[in-house]
Amino acid sequence: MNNLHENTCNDVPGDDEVASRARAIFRTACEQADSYHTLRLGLARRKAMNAGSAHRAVKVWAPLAGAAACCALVVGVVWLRPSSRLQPSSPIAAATPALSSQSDADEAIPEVGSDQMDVVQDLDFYRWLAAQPAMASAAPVGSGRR
Amino acid sequence: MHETTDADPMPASGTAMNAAAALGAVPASVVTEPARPVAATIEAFLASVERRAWRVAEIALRDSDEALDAVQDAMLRLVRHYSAKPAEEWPPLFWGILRRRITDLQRRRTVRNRIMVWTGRATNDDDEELPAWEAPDLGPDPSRALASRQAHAAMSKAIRALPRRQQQVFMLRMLEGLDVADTAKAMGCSAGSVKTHLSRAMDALRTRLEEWR
Repeated sequence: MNNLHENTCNDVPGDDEVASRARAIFRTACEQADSYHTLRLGLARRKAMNAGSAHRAVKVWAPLAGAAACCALVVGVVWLRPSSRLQPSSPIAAATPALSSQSDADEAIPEVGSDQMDVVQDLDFYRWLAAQPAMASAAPVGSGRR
Repeated sequence: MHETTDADPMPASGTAMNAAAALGAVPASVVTEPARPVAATIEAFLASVERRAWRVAEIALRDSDEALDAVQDAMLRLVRHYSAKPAEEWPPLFWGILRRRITDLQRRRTVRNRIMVWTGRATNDDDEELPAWEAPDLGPDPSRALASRQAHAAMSKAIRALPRRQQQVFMLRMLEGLDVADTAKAMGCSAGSVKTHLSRAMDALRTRLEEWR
């Protein structure tokens, strides 16, 4: 069919000639690329390679960093949630009876009024005083009346 | 026989009829370049293809700097997203990325020109090559280099006169030497569509060959 086309239009070149001519012109143009554009093409390639390696590093480390952040968040939420430590029905509280009894003891401390604060502040003195009755009862009998 | 999946709007003229008649008439030997060796690394592949890619983009965009930007963008995307692919798949992927980038830039330019026309600041540069600075020719035969540049300019002009899809098929298939399957992959169309576009492009360019001599 190509031959038929060439026969009917003798002045028009065939596909072979078009292809080979176009290819030769294109090849020459590529070889004759000026140094400025050749240099810029090399720089573009290097930039692409550098960006690619950086992108690969991000692709490797981003999921790991994300997973670590998620784990830290979950641990933080579980550890810092107050209800999980105070509710005796929670599994954590059941698994740690010492902690729950301690919290019960804290809750059992009665509230201290302002007039009783002196007693609390002088607790050492009263303890000392409580240890004295035997000596105090013995002293007036012998020494004071003589 | 004709693929209509992504065909360009072609006028129902004698040219189209000739193209239809000549469909399949482009023998494989015409468009088969010697097979290029498969690059071992992606950097080697880019180094081997960068000049041709730049020239192809320059023909399509008529601007060396925009062509450089398009090639750099295509390189970046290939390295970022497809460097893990087998080396045999790099050529159609790269040329597909570059083709889409060129199409984007052409569309953007069309919109910009429309806005310029609307605001009354348009310049008609469709048929004129802007003067550009060229490095001094230090080669052994300057007149021959000049003739080559003129031939390249004439060929570029003839290719630019084609519809966009025909331009792309001609450059990928004839200038870059991709086979039908890779060209179809790069263009996102069927192999039959590639043959149709190539046949029409060859038919249109045949009449312009005298200008390239």
